Amino acid sequence: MKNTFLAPLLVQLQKLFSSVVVPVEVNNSEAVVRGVYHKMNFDRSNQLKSNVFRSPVNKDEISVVRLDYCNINFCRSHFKQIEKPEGDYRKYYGFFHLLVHEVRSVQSDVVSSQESFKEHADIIHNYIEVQNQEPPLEIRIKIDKLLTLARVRLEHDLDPLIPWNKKVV
Amino acid sequence: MIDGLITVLPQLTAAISARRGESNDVLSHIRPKTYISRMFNPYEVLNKNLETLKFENEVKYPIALSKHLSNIKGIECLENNWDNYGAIAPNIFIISQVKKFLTLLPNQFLEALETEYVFPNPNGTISVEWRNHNNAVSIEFGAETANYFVCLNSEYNGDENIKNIEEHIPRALISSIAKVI
Repeated sequence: MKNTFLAPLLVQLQKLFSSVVVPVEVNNSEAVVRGVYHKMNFDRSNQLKSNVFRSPVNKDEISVVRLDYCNINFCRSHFKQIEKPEGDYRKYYGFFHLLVHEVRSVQSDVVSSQESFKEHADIIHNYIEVQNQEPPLEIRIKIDKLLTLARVRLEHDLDPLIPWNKKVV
Repeated sequence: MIDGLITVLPQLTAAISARRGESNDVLSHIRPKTYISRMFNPYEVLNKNLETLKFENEVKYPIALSKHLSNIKGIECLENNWDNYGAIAPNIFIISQVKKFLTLLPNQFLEALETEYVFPNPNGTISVEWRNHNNAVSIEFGAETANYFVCLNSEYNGDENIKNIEEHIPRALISSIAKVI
């Protein structure tokens, strides 16, 4: 009871007095955001597809930024900074955000990983992706549930009339 | 006998030519307005929907399928790191499996499948999904096996480690797709 009351207060205090310290422990009330870089991660009504919650091969880490220890402009500039646009590829389209307790509600987790920068964290599903092999159903169902919880914010308009494979057509 | 024929021949030829003339008259009267205009008027052809001109089963199926196949071309062209997080390019063998699977599906399933819901995953697999409000069927094709789940009214069911799904589609999967669409 005491902890739940104090935790948000502590977060605010940390923000106010120390922009340097980011705790390793990720609180349930925190929000995490992730940039999206390909039209294939959205459908025509700009809803996310399940492939945004998948790790690269041989990894179990979906890179996110902890919003409570920075601000949305920091995230935007970070997302923009790491884009490598080439036609429709690797172009920053927008981001989605989730609360940590939402991630944990589907038995996934958010862990701090401050190697690249201190606000960085990873969503983990407790499954390491294997090349050309579908994950077990348990993991796929977990991801499907996350889809319904995530909220998307598009920074570029995705015109539904333009087919996403326009480059090829 | 020959004399008889000689006398009859002019009458026969006259009769034939008269008939031809008559029929020519009729044709010359009819052709421009009926045969020619109906068969070869390009405006009439252009104005009609091509689907209605041909048999439904012959045309509708390839149109729905070709829509997905042209979409898959976009997937074939993806390069490594297409998502900017280190995704690998989709596996060509898996792409061919997905194409084969789609050709086996009934036309109504293909029409209900949104083109962008045949999509690649960062590990090289491909997903095919039908989504309708909160219900969904999602199949993921790997190089060796495939699995699928069905979400109906927030309840999940499914099957995994299915071999050759592109050749023998499980009955349970077909009935689930029918329920979702």
